[in-house]
Order: sequence, then structure tokens, then C-alpha cells
Amino acid sequence: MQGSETFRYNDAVVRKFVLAVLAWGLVGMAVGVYLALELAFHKANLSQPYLTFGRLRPVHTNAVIFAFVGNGIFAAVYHSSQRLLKARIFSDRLANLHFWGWQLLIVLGAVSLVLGFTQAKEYAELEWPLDIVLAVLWVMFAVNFFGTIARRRERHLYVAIWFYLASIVTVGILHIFNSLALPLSAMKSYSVYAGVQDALMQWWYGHNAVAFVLTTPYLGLMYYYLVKAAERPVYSYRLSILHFWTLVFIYIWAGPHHLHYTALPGWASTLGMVFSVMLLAPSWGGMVNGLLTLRGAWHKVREDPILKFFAVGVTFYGMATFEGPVLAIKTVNSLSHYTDWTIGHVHAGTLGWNGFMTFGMLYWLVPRIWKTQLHSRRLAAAHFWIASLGIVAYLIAMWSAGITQGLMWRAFDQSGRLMYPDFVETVVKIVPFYWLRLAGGLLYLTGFLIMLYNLGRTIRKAPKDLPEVEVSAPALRPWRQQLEVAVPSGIMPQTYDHLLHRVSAALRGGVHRALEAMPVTFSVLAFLAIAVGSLIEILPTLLVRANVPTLAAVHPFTALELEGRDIFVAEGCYTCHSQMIRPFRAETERYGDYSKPGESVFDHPFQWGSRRIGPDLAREGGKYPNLWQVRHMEDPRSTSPGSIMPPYPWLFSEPLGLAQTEDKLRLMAALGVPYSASDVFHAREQATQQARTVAADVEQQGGRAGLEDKQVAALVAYLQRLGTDLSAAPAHAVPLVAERGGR
Amino acid sequence: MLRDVIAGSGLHGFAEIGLAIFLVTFLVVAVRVLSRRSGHYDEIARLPLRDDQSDAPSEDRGGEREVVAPRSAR
Repeated sequence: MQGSETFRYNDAVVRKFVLAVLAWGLVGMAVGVYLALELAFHKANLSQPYLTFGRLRPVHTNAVIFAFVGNGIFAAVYHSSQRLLKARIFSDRLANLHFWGWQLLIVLGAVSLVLGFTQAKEYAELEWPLDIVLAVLWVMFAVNFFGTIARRRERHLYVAIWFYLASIVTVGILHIFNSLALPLSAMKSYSVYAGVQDALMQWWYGHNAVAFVLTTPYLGLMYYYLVKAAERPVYSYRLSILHFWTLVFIYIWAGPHHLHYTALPGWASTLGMVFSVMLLAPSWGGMVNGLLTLRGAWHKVREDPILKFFAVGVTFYGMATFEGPVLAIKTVNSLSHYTDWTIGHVHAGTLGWNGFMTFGMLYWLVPRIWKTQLHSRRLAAAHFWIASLGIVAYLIAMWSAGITQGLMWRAFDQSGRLMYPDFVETVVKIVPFYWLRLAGGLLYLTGFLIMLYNLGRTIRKAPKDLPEVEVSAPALRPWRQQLEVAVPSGIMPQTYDHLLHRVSAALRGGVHRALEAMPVTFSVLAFLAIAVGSLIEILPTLLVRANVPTLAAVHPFTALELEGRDIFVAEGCYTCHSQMIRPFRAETERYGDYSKPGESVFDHPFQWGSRRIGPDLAREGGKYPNLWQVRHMEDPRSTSPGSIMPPYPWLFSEPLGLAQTEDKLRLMAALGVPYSASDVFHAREQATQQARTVAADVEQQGGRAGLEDKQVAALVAYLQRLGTDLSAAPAHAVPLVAERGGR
Repeated sequence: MLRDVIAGSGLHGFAEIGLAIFLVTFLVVAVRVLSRRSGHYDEIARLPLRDDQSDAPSEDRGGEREVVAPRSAR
């Protein structure tokens, strides 16, 4: 063959990533099941700091997103892109470094979260040193991927490659901008954004983490592995082009639907809603394309467990991307937000789409890269059915729990008062659903264990020696040279005629095909697509003061309250308690006046939360005496019978460290919180004084003595401050806007 | 300073400009893609299926050396 080159695929690194998917999948899902148990049965928290729901929940979300799905993405990208580009991975060493670095990051991340080191931003909890490691590893991955593209022997980039490409570019941007923080110490930092801006930034990130970690790389995976397993090309390549560009362009705008009826400006929220509804079109374009690829192969689906996983996975993608736009509609969201419905929605996507697509890929991939046969197709089929049953149980439980909660929270009796004024009534009601959810999760985990056994046996059968497969493909002529060839001989170079021939040769296959052949141009356009949406949405809120009016009555936290806030963050209280009262009568009756944008301007990071497993805390201050708060932390059931909150005994023994208090105030001042030099200078003294006052009050009310140097004093001080600024201020001062800049 | 610059720079047209960019891009992509013949992309769509030889699961694939068929001339 003329101009043919011989090369080898690097499958060793793919095998490593596959093993990591199996290991971390087990860990992430097992932690998820344990968390489900904790919600159904609070004693499972074991009164241990490291096992409480608040600290473990981020371990679960980060493990399944970045460890299970993350390693799944790397396995798929390293395996399929070598084949689609007809080139070996750009650098074996970089790929290995990427692999080991990523696993180290996961271990460090899990340990740090359990120890209470967190930035308190969902799915971005890792503290700043780990964020930097993540960014470096991501760049390594990107260099390797783009390097492989540069060395490719296939002119055109297959659709899967575009999805990988858009994901790699976007995740990098999202991660860097959302994680911007000023470090206080080796493992503690404060977000540079506060309140509304932080919320908008976080959910721009949070939603797009769903988009560009859980969705687009998996669509790439679908376009390769589904096609391979079905042994037929994708139903419509044209649809895949349309679907790609529309998806990338629209997804980036949808983030604010996480913040409906909050203190976010209305225009941003509406923008998020409209784009979320529009998102249905490209999402279903992808689903239809995936399912129709199986046309004429449905008899294979009946027999082949791999195709079963893919067919149901894609169906769940369709279901979740229908449910998402529905939940993003403001009126539906007013019921669903803060309830378990959201949790159900997320799990439809992760268990159904990401889980099943990963399982399908693994069953297809493992026998191939280990050069052997799958140990048992029957076990794979058993895995499929058990996991499907698990998802159904999980979803039924969460839909029922979510809608029950939503309806109970807003129910009024005939006299116009809340039907269930005591929040715990709405908790007790859904505990049975939590047991059903646990059963669903256990089934899904059982299926996973079956797969581990099956693939373990498969890998054991593999030959000891796994030589690299040698492949050959024609070398790729440089693009310019190819265009040159297309120009008829006899035409003088450097003339307009010559140039026009070249342009017409370049466009012969259409603009998009020419574009595909130029990955750099392609990346820049994909980057522009996401950047336009991001900037238009975020910049005005960041920069136009009028969008976040400051309230004269709102003052920064005292030094002790700031310390208490850090404990609130470290314990992950925000995973169960929101601090954002929406402007509905059902909420203002229950919690007090609705939250204003100006109230959280000093909150670095914001603590609005996304879920109400417990009641909202935005106006918790002054609701109960200090003694109540202390007893509630010691034993939540002593003050709220039926509560599922874990006790926090260590807050009564851990000393209240004030060594960094001054630095914290200084850092906050640097971030724009108006602390004076005197505030900073007297910080420790004032904190000690306030802690003494809280402790004395508790003792006087008949509580335990000696709390002035314990963590609980700071936490109580913080809770008692929440939302009190407006009510404490003179009535006429409240509606005044202190500063109004911009438009 | 930056805030004042941005505040005074007339951002009210921002969203409309964004919408226009979006619509134009979408229309260009849609028109270009849909105006192609349906068989136009067949070759690219078959890309993943071309490396079948090297990916067969069983070990009985005579020899280590596989050869990918040359791409058809464009």
C-alpha cells in the first residue's frame, strides 16, 4: 500500500482506566446506598463526624461524577479516539501521568471531604490545592487529546470526537471560573464571588457539569460504542451535526433554572427557563438518532445484553431530558424545587443514562482489550434486569417523595393557615419512600457487583501477555498539499484563479466537512458557542450593581459568626438546609419574609442550598432560644421528635479554634466585605466575648456549662444571626437601597 | 472602575445580540447540513465500523498484524 504507515494502539492505559471505573463505581455507589440508609434510618450516622450525611454526600456525588463517570470518559476517549483518528495516543507518559494523577486526586478528594475541607459548592467542593491539581490533570488530558488529533491519519473528525472536544474545552473553563477563590490556608479558601453572583456562577457550573461531564462525552461514547455494538452506522449523520451544535449552544444558557424564584434577577431566571425548554429539541435529536441506529437490529437487542444496556440507557437519556425542561418551567419548579423530585431526576440521568451506557461500553470493551471472551452473557443480562428494577424502584420512590413534600409544604387548611406548619411532619411522611429508595439503590448496587464478578472472571481468562495490536493506515497528506493537488495543472500559482480553485476544493464537501478537517478552527468555534452564552448571562450580574441592590440594614457577620459559618460549611449543613425563602405565601408563612438579593452580599460562598431535607434556615435567627439550638445539635429528636438529622456530639468537645480569625476577616475585607482595620484587630477578642455571652445564656437557661470554647458556641451564634438584619433594623431603613450604580 | 465602564457601556442590547448570533449560527448550520445529499455523509458515518478487524473479541484472528483498508479516494 502506498504511503501506508504502521502503528500500534495504546490499550494498556485504557485497561487501567477501565479498572478504575470498576473500583470507583463500587465505592461511589456503595456510599450512595449508605447515604440512602442514613436518610431512612438516622442512627446509621453513628454520631461520627466522618460518617455524617453532610460530609459523605459530596463524597458520593464527586465519586460518581468524577471517579466513576470521569474514568469512564477517559477510558472511552482514549480507546475510541485512537481508532477514530487512526493514531496512537500522543504521549504514553502523559496518559499514565493523567491516570495516576486522577486516581490520587480522587483519593485525596474523598479524604479531604470526609475531614470537612470543602468549598461548599455542589460538585465543586474540592478545596483549592485539589482544584489546581484537577486543572493541571485536565490540561494534560487536553494536550494528549489534541496531540492525538494533530497526529491523526483520518482527515475527518467523526461526531464522537466533536463531543469529546467540546467537553474537554468547556469543562476546563467551567472548572476554572467557578473555583476562583482566595486561599486562607493550605486547605481553606473563600470564593471570590458572593451571594447572587456566586449562586449564578455555581449553577452555571453545576448545570454545565451535568451537560459537559455527564452528557456530551457520553453522547460521544454513544456515537461510537452503540454503532460498534449494533454494527451499523448512526441513523442520521446530518442529525448528529445539527444536534451537536444546537446542544452545545443551548446547554450553556440553562443554568439559572436551578435558581427560580430565588433572589436571582428575574430576567436571568426566565432566560434559563426558555433555553431549558428549547434544550428538549437537540436532546431528543440525540436520543432519536441513538435509538434509530438500532433500526433493523431490534432482534439483536433481544439477545444481546450490551445492546439492551444501550437501548435502555438512551431511552433514559430521552426521559431525563424531557423531565429536565419540564422541571425548568417556573410553575412546575415552584413545586419541585428543594424536593426529592430533583434527586429522582438526577438519578434517572445518572443511573439510567451514565450507568447503563458505561455498563454497555464495559461489556463490549473488556473482552476486546483483554483479548478474550465475556465470561457470561446470562450474568450480564441478569445485571441488566436487576439494575433496571432498581432504577424503577428508585424513581418511583423519589417522584412520590418529591411530589408529596411539595404538596405538603404548600398546603393550607380552610382557615388559611399552613396545614403542616411543623416541617418534621413532612419529613416523617416521606421516610417510607426513603426505604424504597434504599431498596432501589441496593438492587442497582447488586447488579454492579454481578458485573464486577463477571468482568473479573473475564479478565482472569485473558492471556498473560497482551501484545499491542499493530495497525496500518495511509499517512495523511497535509491539508494544504491536498488542496494543491485539487488545483488543475497549468494554473499559475499565486494567482486569483489558483486561490479560487483551492477554496472550491476546500468547500467541496460543504463548510462543515472542511471545518471538521481543521480541529483548531473547530475548537475555537465550539468555544465561542459556549462563551457567548456564558458571558451574556453572567457578566451583567457580575458587573452591573443595580442587579444586586445593597441593603443598608445588612451588615457583615461578626468574627464568631464567621467562625460558625465555617463550621456550617465544613459539616455540609447546606446539603440538607437551604437559606433562600422564595416569595410564595406558603414559604413566607412558614419561614418568614422572602430572601432579598442584598441579604447574601457578604456570603462567600453563598449558602442558598438546593434541597430541603430539613427546613430552610434563611430566617433561623431568633426563632428559638440558644438552649434550643444547643440541645438540637446534641440530640435533634429532643427538640424535634421524628427528625432524621444526625446528632453532632463532636461540636461539644472540639475546641473553638480562633487562631485564624483575624486572617479570615482580613481575607473577607480583601474580597470586599466592609470590615475595618479595628474589626480585624479586635476579631479574636470580640469572638471570645460573644462566645462567652452565648455560653452564659445557655447555662442560664439550664443547659450545660463550659461551651464558650467549643465549636457549638460559634455555630449557634451564626444560626442566631441568620436573616435577622432586616428585622433588627428600624422599619423605615429596610427598603432603602444604600447604593445604586449602573442602570 | 471596570464596573463603571461596563455599567455605562449599554449592555441592554447584549441579550438580543446573543439571540441573533445564536439564530444565525443555527440557521447556517441547519441550511448547510440539510442541503447536502443524504448519501454525502455515509463515508464519515461508517468511520467507527472501519477498524473492525483489530477489535474482534476472540483470540483466533490469524496473526497480530492487521491492516486497515485504505480510504476510498475522495
